[in-house]
Amino acid sequence: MAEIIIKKNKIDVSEWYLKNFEILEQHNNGSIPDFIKTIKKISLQKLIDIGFPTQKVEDWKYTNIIQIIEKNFKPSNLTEYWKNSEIIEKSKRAIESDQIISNLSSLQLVFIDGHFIEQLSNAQKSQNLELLPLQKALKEKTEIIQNHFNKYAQIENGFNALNNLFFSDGILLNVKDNTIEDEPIVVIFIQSGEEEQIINPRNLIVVGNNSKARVIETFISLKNIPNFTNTITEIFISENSFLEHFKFQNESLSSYHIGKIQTQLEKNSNFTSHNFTFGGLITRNDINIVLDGEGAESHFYGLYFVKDKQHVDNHTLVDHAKPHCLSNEFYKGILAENSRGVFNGKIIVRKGAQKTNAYQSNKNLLLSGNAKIDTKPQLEIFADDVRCTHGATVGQIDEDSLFYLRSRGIDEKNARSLLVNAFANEVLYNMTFEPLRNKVSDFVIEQMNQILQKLDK
Amino acid sequence: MLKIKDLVVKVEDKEILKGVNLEVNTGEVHAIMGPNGSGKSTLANVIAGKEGYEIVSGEIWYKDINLLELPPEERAKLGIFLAFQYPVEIPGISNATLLKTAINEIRKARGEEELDAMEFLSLMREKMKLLEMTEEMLSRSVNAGFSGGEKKRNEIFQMLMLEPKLAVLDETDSGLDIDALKIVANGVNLLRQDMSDRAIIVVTHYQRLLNYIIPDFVHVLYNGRIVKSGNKELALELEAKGYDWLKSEDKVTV
Repeated sequence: MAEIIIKKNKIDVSEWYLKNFEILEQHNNGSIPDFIKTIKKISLQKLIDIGFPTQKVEDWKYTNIIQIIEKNFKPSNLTEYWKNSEIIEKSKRAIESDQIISNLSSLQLVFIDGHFIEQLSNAQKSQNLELLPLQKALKEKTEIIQNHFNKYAQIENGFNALNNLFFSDGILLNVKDNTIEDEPIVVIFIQSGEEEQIINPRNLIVVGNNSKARVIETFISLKNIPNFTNTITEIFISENSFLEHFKFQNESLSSYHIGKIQTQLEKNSNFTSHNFTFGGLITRNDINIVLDGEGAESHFYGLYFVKDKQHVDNHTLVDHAKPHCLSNEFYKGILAENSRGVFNGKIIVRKGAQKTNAYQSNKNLLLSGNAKIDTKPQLEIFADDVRCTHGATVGQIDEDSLFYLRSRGIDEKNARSLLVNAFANEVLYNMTFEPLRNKVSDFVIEQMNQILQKLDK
Repeated sequence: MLKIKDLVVKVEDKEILKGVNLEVNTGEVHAIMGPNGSGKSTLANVIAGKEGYEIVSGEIWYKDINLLELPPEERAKLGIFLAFQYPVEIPGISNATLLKTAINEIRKARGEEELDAMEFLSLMREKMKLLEMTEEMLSRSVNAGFSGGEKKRNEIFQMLMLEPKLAVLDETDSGLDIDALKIVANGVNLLRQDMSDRAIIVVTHYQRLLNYIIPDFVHVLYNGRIVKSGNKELALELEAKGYDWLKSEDKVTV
């Protein structure tokens, strides 16, 4: 356990991380590009200044992260389990048996404890699509890195700074102009669980003009021990382009996960995000977007299905910076047993962002009297010709629907499972990628059956 | 087939059924009529096994099985079907999924093999045609966004698919225009073509449905009791005289 100092709005960064950063610096021995060094230097100062958020900070009101800071997670940059052939083999089997990501695509990049594993990856690339590990890109693709890396994600809290200091690997995806990539790009981050580690994945996705791609990020663990994943994905989408992004938080129920996806949209471009949280003990997602060109469009879909003592916190921020943009957000939550959920949907409409259309909805289904959700829309509108709607609901399984199904010969358990699936389907319908949608739908049914089986005991 | 003895049922401390006796034999169609609040829907729901009703006393026997001991799904598996007065909308479950799950659960209970996708589809197509329904409704969510008439038609479609032994139709005529009424009645009469192991109970406020589904027996449920029973002529008499006529007779009956 680390000695930590808690002030009103701030938990000081512990000696543990400062010491480990020093070790890492010596370890890297000057092998990193100068502009990255600068980023790290600024981030270190920022981390010392702002520390980690307490629950006195409005954006962290419902999520207590003290237990994450208290633990001495070893930075995975300094561990070497990823080199172990047994662990690589185990990871391979975990991917092959994964209900969601197995057999999805021929383009796949795998990272164990934050390190790129070439033998499990297939980053076959064409002239129009650059797909490679970020560490490699830092050396080989300096132009695109210098233009886009760390340009969109601001340091909003200590976790963001920590990622800047410790980021290990991730992907650079550069989709060039006029490129339609139909094959989804699957990125898999595996926690080996050999030690209580922190991994800091970092991805950069750049989409040129008139292009289209689909990226699936997934997080899994091999063992059920406390681990910490602190990830940042930055996305830049140029004019008339479309990117569909999926995130699956499917780590063990002892894991901590803080994730940020920061997107910048140019004129007439479209970003669609599907964010799924099934695993993790504490999960916090920040999904932020700036609609920075006229005619840009964003769609945020989310589904969290948690149980046990899981805590999931989704914070989204849609920033309408330019006029004539559309944003649509639809998040659904299923909370079982003693789980807890937080949804905060912030929409900013900047001065001059006229003719903005912004929609937001969050619906929750509580499967137990002990489950809890805090849901809040947050609208800040500085333009006068806009249309914004928002709504939130919290409810239980509808008894009349249950009786209707049972009266048709369907067992109570099966009927409950069908109704939960139906609830989830309303958001899954928005996944146009059918093989993935079917897998997720099956996964939801299985989750539900596991919960119902436990009730029987 | 169905025997109800001295059934007394309370809802939230209020006695709704105050001693109902009814016997329905194989091959028969019974109509249960009565004014609003007389207990018609309660009776239908209790037969189907809806929770929230307190059975104070009495019995319901179905083919020598004590129905009151069974959950609704077991009753359905024995062949009991309730066409709802207010069919529930269930967004996210398609009509096809509902029916496929239901049919296969019922078949499993009967020791029959599950239907494969092709058999199921052709069966659905056949029944839909009879009810003048379009195929696109199969992929639509159960009753979601359906008009009142579409919902009732969907109930009859489910009934034809599940081929119940005892069908209870709870005010299936309410909210239907005359064309929809004819289609629905036609559906019921299709089921009636084979009554060798079947009975039908039609619960209705008005006589007009009974012009198309001609009952063998008519009962009047009033104030929680069956106060009068007769043949189809009774329905016409009620239509002509209204229910007030019974209220005065109530005291002399029983």
